[in-house]
Amino acid sequence: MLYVIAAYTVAIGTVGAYLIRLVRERRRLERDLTGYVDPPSSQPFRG
Amino acid sequence: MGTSQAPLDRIAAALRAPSGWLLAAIFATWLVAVARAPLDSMQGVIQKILYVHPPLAFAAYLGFSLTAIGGALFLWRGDEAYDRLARSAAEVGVLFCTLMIVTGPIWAKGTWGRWWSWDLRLTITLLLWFVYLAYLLLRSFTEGSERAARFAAVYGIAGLLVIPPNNLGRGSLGEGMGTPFALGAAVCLVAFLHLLTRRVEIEGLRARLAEKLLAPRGAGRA
Amino acid sequence: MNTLAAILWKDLVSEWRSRDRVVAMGLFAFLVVVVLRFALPGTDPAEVRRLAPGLLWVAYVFAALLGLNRAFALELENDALAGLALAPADRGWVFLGKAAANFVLLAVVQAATAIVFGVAFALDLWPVAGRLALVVALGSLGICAVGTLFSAVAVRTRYREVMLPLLLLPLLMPVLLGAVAATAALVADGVLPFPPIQLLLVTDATFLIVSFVGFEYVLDE
Repeated sequence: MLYVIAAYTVAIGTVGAYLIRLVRERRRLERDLTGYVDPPSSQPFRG
Repeated sequence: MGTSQAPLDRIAAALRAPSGWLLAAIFATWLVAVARAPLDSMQGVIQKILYVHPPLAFAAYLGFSLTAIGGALFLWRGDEAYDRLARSAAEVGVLFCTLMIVTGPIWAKGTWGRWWSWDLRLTITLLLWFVYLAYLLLRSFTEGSERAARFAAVYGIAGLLVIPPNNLGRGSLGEGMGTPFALGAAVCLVAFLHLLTRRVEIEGLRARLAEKLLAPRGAGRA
Repeated sequence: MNTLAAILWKDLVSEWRSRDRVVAMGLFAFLVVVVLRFALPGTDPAEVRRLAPGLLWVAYVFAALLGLNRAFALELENDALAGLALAPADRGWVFLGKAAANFVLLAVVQAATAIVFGVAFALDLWPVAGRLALVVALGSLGICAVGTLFSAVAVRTRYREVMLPLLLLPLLMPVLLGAVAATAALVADGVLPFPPIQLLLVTDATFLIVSFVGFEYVLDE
């Protein structure tokens, strides 16, 4: 039935999307962290 | 003060990969079990929502419990790591809570033909959702992060005490429903845990970044 | 203990002098009752009697929110919040004093509102007045306990008038559940069932303890 498929899709899809967002956020933070300790030459600080 | 590798962050880092693999394995098994579960003669296919809605509820309750406990520990010990835990648990928990609110009416519509009913179970889930939202709004609108943490901790404790836990014990499961249900519960709980570890790590990274912003010392070490 | 009495006295005296909070709360409750009555135009009397207890508590909750929003307003406006925090006594007693003052003001408003409500909804509340007062007192106890605690919280947030209802209403659901159920039973059958009272007692006790202890963490500076 359509409702069942909708429920499962929404649940799994949302959790998956959030997971991807967390992964991206972590990568961004790690970049910022290592980027910050680079010699203060050419890298503009990415807020 | 150095908050870089608090025990919380080490635990989160250690749990992340294992919980991820476990999640993948259980998830696959669960999907198979759901597909193969026997159909209830009276309710038909809609009954399969049973394998996703209550499990989401378990995760939502776990989330708020951790939020409240983290808050309580923060008030007691003053360690900012506990607040990071509370914050993270609230954010991941509200996700599961929202999904629970969304799947609830789908189940209701399929089972009783109405999108909503004010029966105790659905109303309690709605209440939990409101408490989550109020918690998050309180955090956003309080000025000063230490004060926000304190206020939120108090609210989290009050909120937890208001949600009756009796929502978890539901009627008996029919033949063949035990396995997909248990797997569903396991999937949601492990998913929660996995997302929580990632979220906590992010909070830890943010804290370290903030430290570096506040105390720049030229080319330091990561 | 002296702190409790001192704060209670201070709040009540300052309220007596200006009477602005009580009047505002009373007027607002009165208007709510009237509006609610108009919201049910041609409904048959039996239906109205069924809905009445819930509506009464709607009026009570609105009045309480109005009063609680102002609970720390005086301290905030005069920069006296620090004064409360520095009081040489357990802050729990400060909390009880504040909560008691709120309770008294709310009780006054609730009594007046009940009379107006009885007239507007053609309900004879006098036979059950004593037990109704008990139910209302129990409900208000819970409302004032968490209400005072989170009023101190809300007063320090942005959008403070909106923050208090947002925080409070989810928490008040068990209180309202019990209070409305008990009131409904009183109005309909004249009996006071125990389960709602039990819920109220448990919730009130929980809220009082949490608020008494939590107030410590809510007053800073």
